[in-house]
Amino acid sequence: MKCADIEKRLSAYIENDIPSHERLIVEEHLKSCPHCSKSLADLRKAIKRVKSVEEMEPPAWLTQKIMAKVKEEAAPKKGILRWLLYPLHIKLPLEIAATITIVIASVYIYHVGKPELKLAEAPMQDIAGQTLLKEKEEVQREVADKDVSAPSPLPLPEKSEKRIKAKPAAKEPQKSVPMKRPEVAESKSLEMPPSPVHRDEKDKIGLSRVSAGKAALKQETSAPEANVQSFVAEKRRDVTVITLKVQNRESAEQEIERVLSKLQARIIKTEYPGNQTIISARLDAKKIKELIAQLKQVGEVKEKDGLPEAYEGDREISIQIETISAPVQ
Amino acid sequence: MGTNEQIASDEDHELVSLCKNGDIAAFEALVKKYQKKVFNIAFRMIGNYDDACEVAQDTFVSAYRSIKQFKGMSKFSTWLHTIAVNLSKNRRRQLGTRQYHEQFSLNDPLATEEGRINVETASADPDPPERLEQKETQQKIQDCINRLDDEFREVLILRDIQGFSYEEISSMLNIAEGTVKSRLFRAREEIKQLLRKILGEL
Repeated sequence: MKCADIEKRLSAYIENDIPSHERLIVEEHLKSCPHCSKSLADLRKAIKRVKSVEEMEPPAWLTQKIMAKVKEEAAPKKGILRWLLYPLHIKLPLEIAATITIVIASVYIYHVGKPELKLAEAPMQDIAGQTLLKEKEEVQREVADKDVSAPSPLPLPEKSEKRIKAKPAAKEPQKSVPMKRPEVAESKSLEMPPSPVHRDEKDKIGLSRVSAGKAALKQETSAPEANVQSFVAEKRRDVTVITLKVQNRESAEQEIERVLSKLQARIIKTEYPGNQTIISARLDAKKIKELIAQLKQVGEVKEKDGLPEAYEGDREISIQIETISAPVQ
Repeated sequence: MGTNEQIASDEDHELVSLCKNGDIAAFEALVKKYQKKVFNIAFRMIGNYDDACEVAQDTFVSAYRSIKQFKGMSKFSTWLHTIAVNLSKNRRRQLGTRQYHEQFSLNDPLATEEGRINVETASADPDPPERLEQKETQQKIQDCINRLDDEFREVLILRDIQGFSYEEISSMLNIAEGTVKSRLFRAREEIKQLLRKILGEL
């Protein structure tokens, strides 16, 4: 065996991992070959050097850090298990919260939308028409009072003063404008429910309307549609409207006033728009049925709003008296 | 060696069973038992203290994840060390083109081993200059190991530093025992040359 072959076996020889006959050959060779002996010695030294490297001490925090990661690894599995086993623990509050939110939102929307809904159902045409007719009537009455011999109810000197920049030439067309208004008012009030702004204005407008026809005329130029809308809304909300068809309006008026005083009702006002008489009064809600029964003896009764069953205490009623025959005017 | 024999001979069999049932304390016992060896395999194979720390952590986390798949075909320790060897090889590959000996500038290892030295010197500090010289020699040897080809370095570390049997190394590296022997011979020859070159003597 040559030195090269011997050197190849030295590693195994050191490890004692060599067949016994080869071992003998190697040992024999080593005795006579200083080169191979040196190789063996060097190999032993090299291995000794390698083995001499000290074991390194891992950092003291290593265990902790490993265990933290391992626990992290274990934690989400527990979470998933809990989810699978007790899904309601997490889901139920969410479901409840969602349900409560929906219920609250529904109730809120219902309450907010209520007036609009009612308004949409209301028989708007008649009321709106009446309102404007009433306005016109008032103007005409005023004219009749002041100048009986005037060829036309319009123009009115006082009125033209109040109307801003009103020209005599424009007065004739103006006559027809209020006639058209009911349609406009009707469509507007159906399309656009009264806004809060209208509501705020409402009281003021209503007052001026009651106090003077002149004021109403002024309003007419500024925002008639809004006035009608708010007036209608007012009637819708608080007033029970009863329409009464009679043969003779004046005698009916007297009869109704008598009935109302008998029922301890307080007459607020009596208006004469167009060919109607409107008596507004406050009456105990419980007596409304009785009133209607009495009214049926005077003429043909139509209840526009039905009876407010839920009402307690006083209730405003508006009795609209119409003649059955063609308008006198 | 049969499977049953293997399980019976595995000293960690009980702890491993507990771990499979989710006993974290049992796993911690295994961590404490093997972390030093795992860390040292990683350190010798990668040659960098910080990377060795990370690989040691990854090894145990990986073992925890797959302990239910551990069937006891080998000893738990062999299985664990195989994970460490593979992760170390991966880490070394990731570090790739970097020159390992460059990481062993005087600052780096001194700083990282400071903690260890301090612990030892606290108990006994017989000869600081000698200790420093020894430390330098250690560093040079590690440098030589780092310069070996991967296939030679791993067998040398596992056999001559960690003292695993041929059979265990064969199992860990998934190579035949004969290959382990021949690689070991080549590895020793090469380290001999390197040591002579770097240390000036053997």
